[in-house]
Amino acid sequence: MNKYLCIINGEQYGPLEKDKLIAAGVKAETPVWCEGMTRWTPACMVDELSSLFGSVPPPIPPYERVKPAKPKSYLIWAILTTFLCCLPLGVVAIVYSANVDNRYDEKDYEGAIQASRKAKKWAIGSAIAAAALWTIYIVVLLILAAFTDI
Amino acid sequence: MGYIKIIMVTIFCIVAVMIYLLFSPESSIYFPKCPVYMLTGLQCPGCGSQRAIHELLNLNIAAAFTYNPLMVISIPYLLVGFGTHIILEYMADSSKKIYRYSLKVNDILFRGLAVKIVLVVIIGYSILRNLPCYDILFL
Repeated sequence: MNKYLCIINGEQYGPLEKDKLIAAGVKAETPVWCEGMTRWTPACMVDELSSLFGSVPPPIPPYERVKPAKPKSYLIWAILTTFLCCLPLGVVAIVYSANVDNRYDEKDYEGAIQASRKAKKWAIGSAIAAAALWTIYIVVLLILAAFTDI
Repeated sequence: MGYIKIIMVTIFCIVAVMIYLLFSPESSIYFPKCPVYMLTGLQCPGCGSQRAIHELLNLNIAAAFTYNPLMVISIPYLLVGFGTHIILEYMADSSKKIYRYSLKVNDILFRGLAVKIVLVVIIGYSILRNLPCYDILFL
């Protein structure tokens, strides 16, 4: 019968036989290892031990729990404002868009979120600046028109 | 709140399309000139977009192309972007095939390396269109 090593609260125990594992405090997600296995594996994923835990689904692996979702890059909006707002602010938004994925790939998740916020801010800022400029332009035109008509 | 937003955006788009369909930014004074161009004499990546949109709405694709070729080229790309954006944002069922397909398209075309390519293309375009040889090469 295989004897298993297990890690409980960061401490290694064992080798223990299958029927002594539960008493030792092994749970479904506890990493276990026995001779012939290539890596530490949650106990419920080991065929021989799966009967100990009933039909509990395997736990979410830790890396997926820690890794947050990729923040939005707002790339489409950045491109749109670059083409439509006629101000170089949109290009700044694209630079931040590129930064979002850069930071994320470097596992700097906080930095990625900040870059995402900045990309959004610059794209919106660019749109507002363009709208403001247009409004001022029209107002000036109307004032000029009013004066020249007199 | 959601409905009001959708209605406002729709009205805005319809009005904008009507204005750019009916009036030419070339001949009407009510379309502002690009501030970058007026201040520096340099063409930014957006210069010519208004005239290009007017030509596009009147189905003159070739004319639109002469005003701002990169903007015209980017339209299909942006449409794909909006499509996947809407599916990923508003579709509740993430197990549907079209959702996973959109996720894949989004990852390839609008994330990571693609963003860097977009940045390089736009900066390159800004430089290129201000070079004296641009007219001879492309128009």
